Amino acid sequence: MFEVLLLEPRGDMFWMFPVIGAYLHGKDKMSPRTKAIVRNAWKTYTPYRGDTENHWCMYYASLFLAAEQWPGLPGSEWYNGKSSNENRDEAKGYLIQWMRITTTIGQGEFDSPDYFPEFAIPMLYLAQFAEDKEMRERGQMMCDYLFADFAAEHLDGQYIGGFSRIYQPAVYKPLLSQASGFAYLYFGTGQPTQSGWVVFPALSPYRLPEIIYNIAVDRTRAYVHKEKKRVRNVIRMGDIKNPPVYKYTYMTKDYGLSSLQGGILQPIQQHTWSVRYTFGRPYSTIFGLHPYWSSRELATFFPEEEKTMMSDVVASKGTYNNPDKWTGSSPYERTFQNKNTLIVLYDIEPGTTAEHIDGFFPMNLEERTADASGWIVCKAGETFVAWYPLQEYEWIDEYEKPGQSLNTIGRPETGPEEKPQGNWRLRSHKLQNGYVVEARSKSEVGSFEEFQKRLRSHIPKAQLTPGRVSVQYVTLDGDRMSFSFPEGRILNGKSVDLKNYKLFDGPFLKADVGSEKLTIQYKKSKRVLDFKSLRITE
Amino acid sequence: MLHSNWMMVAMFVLTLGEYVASQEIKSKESTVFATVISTKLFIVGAANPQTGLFYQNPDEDTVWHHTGAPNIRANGMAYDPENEKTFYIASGNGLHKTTDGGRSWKITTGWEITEILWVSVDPGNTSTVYIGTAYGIYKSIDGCSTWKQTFTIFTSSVIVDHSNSSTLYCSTENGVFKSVDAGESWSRTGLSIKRTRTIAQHPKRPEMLFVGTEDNGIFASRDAGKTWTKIEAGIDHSTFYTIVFDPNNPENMYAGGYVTGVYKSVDGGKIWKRKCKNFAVESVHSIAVDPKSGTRVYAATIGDGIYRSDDGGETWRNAGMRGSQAWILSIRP
Repeated sequence: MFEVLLLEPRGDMFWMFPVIGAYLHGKDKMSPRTKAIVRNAWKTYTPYRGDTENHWCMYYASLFLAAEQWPGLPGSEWYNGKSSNENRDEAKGYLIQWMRITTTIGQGEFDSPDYFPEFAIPMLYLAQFAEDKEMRERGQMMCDYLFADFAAEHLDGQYIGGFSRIYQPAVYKPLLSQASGFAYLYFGTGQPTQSGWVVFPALSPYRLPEIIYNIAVDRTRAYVHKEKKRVRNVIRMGDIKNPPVYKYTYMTKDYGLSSLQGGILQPIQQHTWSVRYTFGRPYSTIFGLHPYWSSRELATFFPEEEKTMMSDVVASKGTYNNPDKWTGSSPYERTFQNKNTLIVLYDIEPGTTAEHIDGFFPMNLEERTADASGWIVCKAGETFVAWYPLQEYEWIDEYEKPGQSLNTIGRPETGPEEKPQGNWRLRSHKLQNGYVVEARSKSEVGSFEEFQKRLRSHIPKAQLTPGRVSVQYVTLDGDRMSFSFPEGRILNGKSVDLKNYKLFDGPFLKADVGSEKLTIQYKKSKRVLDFKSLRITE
Repeated sequence: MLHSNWMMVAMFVLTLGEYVASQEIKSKESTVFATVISTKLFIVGAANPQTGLFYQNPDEDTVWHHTGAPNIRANGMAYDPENEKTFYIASGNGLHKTTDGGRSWKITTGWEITEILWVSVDPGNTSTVYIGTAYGIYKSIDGCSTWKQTFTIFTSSVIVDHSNSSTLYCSTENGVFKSVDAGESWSRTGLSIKRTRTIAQHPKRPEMLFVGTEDNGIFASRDAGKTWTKIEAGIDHSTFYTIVFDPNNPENMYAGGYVTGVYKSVDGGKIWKRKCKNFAVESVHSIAVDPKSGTRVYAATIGDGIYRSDDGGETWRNAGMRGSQAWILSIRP
């Protein structure tokens, strides 16, 4: 069967890593003929290296392992004309560079519920199969690193975010994401996935360190977790190659509220903020966005012609230029989060795509009430979420196409006619706009009624004119937040400087920018990943 | 147990479509080369139709022959003027080079160099090769064994002055730059426009340059880049990806860009006239004029393959690869 599958290779790096994985797992059982067919495929089939960080990670991890399997061959025996040694050295060079940049200024395709496996699987491979001791150790350490990063922002099978990239429908059905399948395997949470991706970790001897498992599942105490990541390479229309991304997460046993600072931090699939909770699967989230798209955004990150690039992107990311989409970044959006309170402001240029903002409210909320105070108050089990729109808005029945799955990669469905599924879309057409979000659990405020009652005396004061969008707000906990679009964040009278963010800063993970060292802590246990010395200490 | 595990993994191997082995280039006089970066609905990692470097001999109608690796995001190509078997492909995978006429290829760059958009060979010393990339310009002086980055701005094209190979020009996201020390250092020319897409040099008057820009039309310089004049007569479009001269009669010029069709000038670029009869797609990324015939002209379209005119651009017909994004054309004399 394997031989048949290798007759007509296609799929680039998505071909490379299953093939080398299958070979490494099964070569002892393979006939010489099968082995020869595998070998020949690496001579005759040229995979595209791709144009994203996950592509490269898969490409070079696969190439590295393949070069180790067939050492000493001349360039004529490889698809790219390079010898085994050249391929191994190049692949190792890239992988070490990727690890270095990840552990110094942060991952570019960070915290992606859908692309988590594309990074984790190559590292699992290295940890298991690399003959080079250094790369084996690096693979092990990066597995710890990636899983620790996930664990600190994990709640009941869901990645909590603020994400660099996520697809529909996983953005509003969080457990559909690929990462949730990994959570099921490693954290015992969430639910099993139908995705074949979990085959690879299931076969791996890598075992999650207990300390990371504990971080993933212990939600006895609420905590603030902050991270610094990086923007994908800016190749034009910007002076800084990798501007910083600041992510703020407030985690409880019932919900997690998390946000990126806003703006374009990743093209196409960014998810800037959301509250996700343990109640009400599959629609266990509330979030908002400005569904912006532009050729200029694409040209900032991709090298093709700006004016003709849109059709290329829409071919694979069909929702990109859809004004009803649920993913994407906007230059006209900024956030300011303090614990379980979030302010989001918009100052949208007239004529831009699109001239409205949207909020997603799921069907399975137990309550969704527009209070006379202006607050929209929602109850999802023991999680309460309140949303104060700063401008007038309307409710639209939210549609979802039947049968939509991750495999549709956002392409328009040609199936049964659309039917309302019971979700709601909050839409506001004002260009100077915003909202305040308060999230609390029953254990924090006592009851839903008490939550509603307290909100009524916490009304935001906003100024909403072009070029002057700001809000002042006192949170339910008494913190004074003042936010002026785009970057004027003041908390209790003190300016908040995002530049002070560390790579990781929370009760479980600590890392300084540039350090190449991650300290993982849980109660009295500690695990330090030092990528400079390649040592793990406990 | 291990065997069954291996079978499970094998189930997930993605294999679709077909592989076509690299073919030796069987070129004749005036063979036209075309790079194709994508076909309709191209998706990385999916079962895509073949892309890369293609060539066609003049007596072939819509038939194109593929050579080199398929599916590499081929942006540019060049040939060695002194060695008929040496070709280059600038691609997302790196710079591919063959020295045996396409029977075998090697990627000459490593992970550090990517998104290569352009390749130029120094006609005075063909061991010297320049590549323009999304991250700037790299130079090799040893036939692509080693590379050195000499410029760090997004570069869409680099040309070597045919009268003096120490002089180069490049079109970049930050304007047109010039080097007088064989690409070691670069300085801005007198053009104030920043986003430039292509640059062309008059085949007989090296001080005469034309530049195509993003959103700002075409500019011309008659003093090797010191001063520039906007060309406006007959031009109704603003974004130009390609400008070429008829090598034998440089008064005849062609230009193409975003939804432009093909523009032609018969007076050395002073007055232009739009020629887009029969184009199904009007965005043109590259144009090549057959140096032997003068009237045979090819246009690479973004979305409908290659178009060909046999009457100096008056009428056009599709010449194959429909639906594809053809990127760069070059005719080897």
